[in-house]
Amino acid sequence: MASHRTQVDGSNVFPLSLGLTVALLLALLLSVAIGPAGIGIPGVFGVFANPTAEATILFEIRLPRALIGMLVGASLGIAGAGMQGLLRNPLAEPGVIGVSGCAGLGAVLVFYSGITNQFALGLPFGGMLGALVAVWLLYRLSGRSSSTLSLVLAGVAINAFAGALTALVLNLSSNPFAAYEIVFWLMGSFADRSLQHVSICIVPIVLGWILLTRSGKGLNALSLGEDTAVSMGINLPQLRLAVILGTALCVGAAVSVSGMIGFIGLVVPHLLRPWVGYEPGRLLLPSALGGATLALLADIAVRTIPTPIELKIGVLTALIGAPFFLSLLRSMRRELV
Amino acid sequence: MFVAAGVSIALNEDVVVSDVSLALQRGEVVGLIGPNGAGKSSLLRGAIGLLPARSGAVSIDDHSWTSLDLSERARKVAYLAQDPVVHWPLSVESVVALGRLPHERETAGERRQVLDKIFDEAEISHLRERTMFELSGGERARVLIARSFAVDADYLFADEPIAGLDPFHQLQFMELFRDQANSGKGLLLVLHDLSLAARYCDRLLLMAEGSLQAEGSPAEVLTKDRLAAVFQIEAVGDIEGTPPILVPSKRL
Repeated sequence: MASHRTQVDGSNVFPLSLGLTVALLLALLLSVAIGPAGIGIPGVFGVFANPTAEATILFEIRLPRALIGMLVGASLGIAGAGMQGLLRNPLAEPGVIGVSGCAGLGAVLVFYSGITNQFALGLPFGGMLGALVAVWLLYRLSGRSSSTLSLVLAGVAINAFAGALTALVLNLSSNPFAAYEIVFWLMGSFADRSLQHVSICIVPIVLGWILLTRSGKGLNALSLGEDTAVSMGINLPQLRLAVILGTALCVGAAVSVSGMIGFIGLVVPHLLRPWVGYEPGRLLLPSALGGATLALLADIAVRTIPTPIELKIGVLTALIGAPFFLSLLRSMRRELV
Repeated sequence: MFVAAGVSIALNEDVVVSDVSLALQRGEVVGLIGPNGAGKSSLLRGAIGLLPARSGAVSIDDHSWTSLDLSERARKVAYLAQDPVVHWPLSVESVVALGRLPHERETAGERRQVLDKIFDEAEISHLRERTMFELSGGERARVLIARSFAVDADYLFADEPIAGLDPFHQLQFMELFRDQANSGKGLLLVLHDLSLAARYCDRLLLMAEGSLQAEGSPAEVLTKDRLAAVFQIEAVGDIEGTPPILVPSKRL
């Protein structure tokens, strides 16, 4: 937070994005090279020259996992940056507006109903449906007013309700195995994902990214308050809709293929903010790149930390993210006093 | 000319502005004065659509306000909020540059030129590299006025723009507002300092309890009876003097 004093010029955004892209590519290489089959970095390049059984492992197990990790991480990063810009609060997370919670609930309902037995892709569809319901509710509750407070309150209420309904489903589950499966799924993971998972989530995710990146100018203007932004030609209802819908699309799809992975949307924008001169609009792209990198690194960590059962990535991000959240809260309070 | 006719505004069913009409020409500075809660801020916001008006018609240079899209409106009227907020520790440079948002088509070079001129005029070039969180209240207010100048709109509506400034900068910015008018812009300023209002405004609008009480030259509006009836004060000084002085001396 001492970085408030560093004046960072706008010209730093391109090198920053370039640096993050390089970091992301390195993380991707590492992610496909590491695993029980022990392919290693030379092996990754080897499969292009000489396809073997290792190629099957790479393309059908590790690559989908890495792709999902990148898509989900980038979505959480950019949605976090977008929500923080819209709500003008560095503590806002995609989860705040209830989209993660409702996406989780949607997926859990699909689990519980047993649709997944006949229809493998029911789960992602359930998640996205939940996210859409969250957005629809949010817009009904706060759409017509331009107050940020009513948006936050509506989000908190939706989130609490989604949490309660998820607990109810688990409570009523007659099949203990299903309940166990649900609890584990909610912890979040990129393991055992296929290219089919990639193909189902990629369209809503990319649509969400487009909506969010196009909101940059409006989010910058919003730094000076709603009235001032409108007086400078920003269409506030349209801006809010774009950010909320963009968040719902990419976070909804992300949660439905990976479970709930918290704090990436909080940590990444916060660390990158000083590098873009605190301008919320210029934070979007770097946050997507940083989110993807962090998700891959966290996924590498859960695969290499020796535990009897593989750690769930959502557990790891929460273990690191929650103390981070607390320290952020502490330093914010110091600044505000 | 900016014309608002018969504007009424309600906040939560309370009528805060009732049937107010005003006209603002380019080249003039008009002061909007009145006690706290008179509806000045609401009128300012309602006139440019930041608050929904219950009734009334607004037009600008013979175009109906509602027929203009948001970026056209932004280039017509710039707005400076009362106690404007800045939510992130943005640099002074980027805050003033935000004022150029309604001018998307200009090149980086044109933008630089406009901004350099504004930093010069407002005498805040030395703050350029600082962040907004490092400034004092008065410095922040000066930067935000510069932001409203950067919009370079035909009209500027400013809500208590000089309230947080020291006497030196109050005079400096009133002179800058005057300069803006002389260069062909129309300014509507909410003011509380009666002497400065009398000295720098061509006309004054006096509001109380949501409606317009008087309109005219400073000497016509700021009579002893009106000060007593609207502000419940007595004032000393000479409104006709050079400069005009009117200092509240006694509550009634």
